[in-house]
Amino acid sequence: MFSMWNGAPPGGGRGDPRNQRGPSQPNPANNINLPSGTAHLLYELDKRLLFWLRDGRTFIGILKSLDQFGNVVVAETIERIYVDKEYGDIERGICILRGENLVLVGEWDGFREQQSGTRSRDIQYILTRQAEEEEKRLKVKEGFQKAMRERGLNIRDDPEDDLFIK
Amino acid sequence: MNQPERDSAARGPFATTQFGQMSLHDQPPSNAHRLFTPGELTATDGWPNIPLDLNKINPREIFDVPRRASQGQSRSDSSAAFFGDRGNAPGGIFHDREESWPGVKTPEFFLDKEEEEERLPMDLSRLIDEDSFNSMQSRQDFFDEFTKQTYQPYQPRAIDSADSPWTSSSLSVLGKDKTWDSSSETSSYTPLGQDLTLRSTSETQVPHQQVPSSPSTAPAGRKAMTLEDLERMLIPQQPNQEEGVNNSEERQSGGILQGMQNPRVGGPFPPLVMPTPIRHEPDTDLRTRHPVDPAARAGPPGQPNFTSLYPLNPGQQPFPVFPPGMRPPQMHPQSQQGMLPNLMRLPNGQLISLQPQHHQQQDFRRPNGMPMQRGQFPQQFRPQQRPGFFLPPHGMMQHHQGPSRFMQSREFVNRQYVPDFGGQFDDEDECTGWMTEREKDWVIKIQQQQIKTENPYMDDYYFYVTNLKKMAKEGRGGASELSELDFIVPARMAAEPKEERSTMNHFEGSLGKVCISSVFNPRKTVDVEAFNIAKNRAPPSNQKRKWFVDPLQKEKGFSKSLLLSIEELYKLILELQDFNREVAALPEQQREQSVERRRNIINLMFDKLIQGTTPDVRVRNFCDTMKIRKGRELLRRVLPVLFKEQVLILTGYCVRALPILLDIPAERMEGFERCLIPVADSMKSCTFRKLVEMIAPIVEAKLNLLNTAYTGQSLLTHAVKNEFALSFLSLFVKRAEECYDTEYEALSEDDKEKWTLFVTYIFMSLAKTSADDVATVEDVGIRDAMCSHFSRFPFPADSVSSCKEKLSK
Repeated sequence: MFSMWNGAPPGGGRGDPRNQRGPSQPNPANNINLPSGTAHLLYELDKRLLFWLRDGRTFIGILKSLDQFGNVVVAETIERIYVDKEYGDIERGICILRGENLVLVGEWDGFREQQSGTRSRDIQYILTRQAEEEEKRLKVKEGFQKAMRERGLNIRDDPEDDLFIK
Repeated sequence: MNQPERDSAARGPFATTQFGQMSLHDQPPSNAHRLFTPGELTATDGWPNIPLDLNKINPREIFDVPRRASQGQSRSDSSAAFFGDRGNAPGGIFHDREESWPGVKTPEFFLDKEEEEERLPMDLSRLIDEDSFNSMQSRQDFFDEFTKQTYQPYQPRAIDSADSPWTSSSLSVLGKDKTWDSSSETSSYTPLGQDLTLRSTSETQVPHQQVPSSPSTAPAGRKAMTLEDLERMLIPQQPNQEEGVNNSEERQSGGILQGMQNPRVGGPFPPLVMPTPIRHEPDTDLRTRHPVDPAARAGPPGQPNFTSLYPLNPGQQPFPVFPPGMRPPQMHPQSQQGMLPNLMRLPNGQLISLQPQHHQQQDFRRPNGMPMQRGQFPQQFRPQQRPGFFLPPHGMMQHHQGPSRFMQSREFVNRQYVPDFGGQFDDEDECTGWMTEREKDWVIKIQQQQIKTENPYMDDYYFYVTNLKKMAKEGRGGASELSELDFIVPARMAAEPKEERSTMNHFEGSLGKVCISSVFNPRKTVDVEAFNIAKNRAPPSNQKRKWFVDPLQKEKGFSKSLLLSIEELYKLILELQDFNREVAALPEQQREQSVERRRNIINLMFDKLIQGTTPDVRVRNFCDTMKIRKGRELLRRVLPVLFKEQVLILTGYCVRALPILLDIPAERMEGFERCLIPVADSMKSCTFRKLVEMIAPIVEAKLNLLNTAYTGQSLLTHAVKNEFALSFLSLFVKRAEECYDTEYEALSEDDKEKWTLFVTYIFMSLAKTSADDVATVEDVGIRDAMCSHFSRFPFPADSVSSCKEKLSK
């Protein structure tokens, strides 16, 4: 199944051509100058980007708009769910991602995705697999906790995880 | 945002997606010629009938879709012209997809089941050649072909019938060259856009522009070439390919003219199969039946009149359907206020709307049902850029004074405040204009205000200083020295108390409160506490800096304390630096008072550097500091500041620490020559006696060196191989040479003996070591001094000269 998301763009895989910019980037806003040497999300407008969210989800879409909190409007978004070396896409259309929940934003390159050897699969399949993996993980965790309890140790959940919602 | 619903009830051409109703079929709906009756509308019937005021456009003509050869339906002339003779030929470019690409399926959730047979054909078989597929060129070609065959920019096409209001040349009321001012040059802006959206394809798309040949070189011959021909025929091509954002920038803020002139920027736009996204009721009969005068049913000004013209049935979505979150294309702001004419009366009496008509095609889906890959498109396949649609200023009928006047007019300037979708939501415009310039400025302003500081010297030292230096460099044409004055003001500000920041709870027009996080109080996302081992064993409060170190923790605590002491020294240095700058600002008479203070600081620094109760401990501390790179850096900064006596003391310590210093690998000793300069300076006034005293540890029998594994001789043998050590020692020799004549005789016998021994050691080391191993002494003066000093002693002359050779490169 050929999906354009993994299409090999001309230009030799240097990334989405629209994502390319020269070393001296044009000022995103004409009237105000950012301090030199700064990076700003405004430079990334209309680029296809990848977003990681705090709950571990991955969104890929074109950055359309942003605000002072880092909330972003993303168009043509897909949520890509990975399981091992396979992934499935869910179309999300136009989204607003709250800035508080963004962990990472980066340029996305379909070509590299293709090169990386991951395979695109049907989303239903991926969702099932994801559920399976989650079950497995829970089982393992459960077994671990049970074993600890049998030995008289009571270990609570790792407190570092409260940064992440999931 | 759910997955596109699969409307299993959809029959025929209608497929419901989240963006409205589009059809991907190339077959006409079965009810094409059924008379429209309101009651018959089902949920799947999409578009309300558009009366014939839309000039009898056969929908099939607008969205020209190739027919299968088997259908043998009649095609209009325009479509024939569009596709050439090949259009319907069997074995033409469009044949059954299944044949060309067996086994390929589009993702299930993009399509209705019924559509599986109905995909638009794509012939890419000849491109998918396994051997060559991986080459860049063929990938490029593949991509070219694929996009050619699956994408087509929207080209409104009216039948070239004379009575069509769109195509009539009566629109040249705007002037022959379609400008408001017939006297203006042809190259000036075209108010309504080059293609006006109103003229037929064949007229519009071959303007007065260059049509360079397509850059892509398709491998296989016949079909590809014909495509090229078609492109060239129909689509203006621009050789330059700009960045998408640049385009939008230009178009929004300054490049209106350019945008207007080049409706399609970027390479060849192949004539592609256009899906039929909009399946408004394809009822030609109805159109013929209801010629409606738009003026009679004018809706709210500035809006398309469709709502009044095409009454909706309950449950129907208005045309055009916008996906949630998208807003209808923005009309010209002035027109929205009713200032600009919405309608124009043509000479033949018909009223046409001047608003951009969006004959919709939100082709969010590829004809074969694949998702839009706008972002993946290379620049050259950007579809027609719809120039920002704008109307001439109010009073368009007046004589226009040329483009420059307009560019300064309010409308033009204000354009940057209004996202202009140009009336189209096709590919290009959707990528631009979501954020106006004003909004971008606004965001940047907010963020800059949050980091604004009165005292950048303190708050943002590195950035600020770098900038100052850069400006100084540029300002003075390369002078690298920054005067103290540049730093005075900030230094003085350092003493001022921090001001209260104005409490501002929220920005106007936004939700939520302002997050006031400053350099001093950044918003914490992760609370990190320094896990301090030694903290558990806090020293008694009367002991300032001696850590009470558990022997088990000795290593950790020790290195930590060392680092901390280095940091303290750095603080002192910085204090001194700032103090100097402050003083420089003061007038002359007040400077004497600060001398005292300065001296205090320096003494304090020195004391901290050499800490310890006994000389041995002190030396050891000093050596430890030297082991750490930051300590060496510290020494480099401190030495120029210290008093001469202090430097001499340090020099003596260095001698004793020579074994340690020798062990430091050469790459970490970079910059040591800067250390040696103050050393040399301080030695200038050094007596011979002092010199002897300093080198005494090397030659004394007691071997007061730090590392007693070395003897004096062996130490020097190693020393000559080490650049730093050699330079260091050569300073001694040089100084001795200078004051030899005057002072040597005055030395005691003991001293003389020591010195002779010292020189002998050096000489022997040099003589024994091969030329390659001997380190280089850069300074010619030093080399000469050394050799002449050697010659004072009863060394063989040839050895002396060979030493000189060795010392140089």
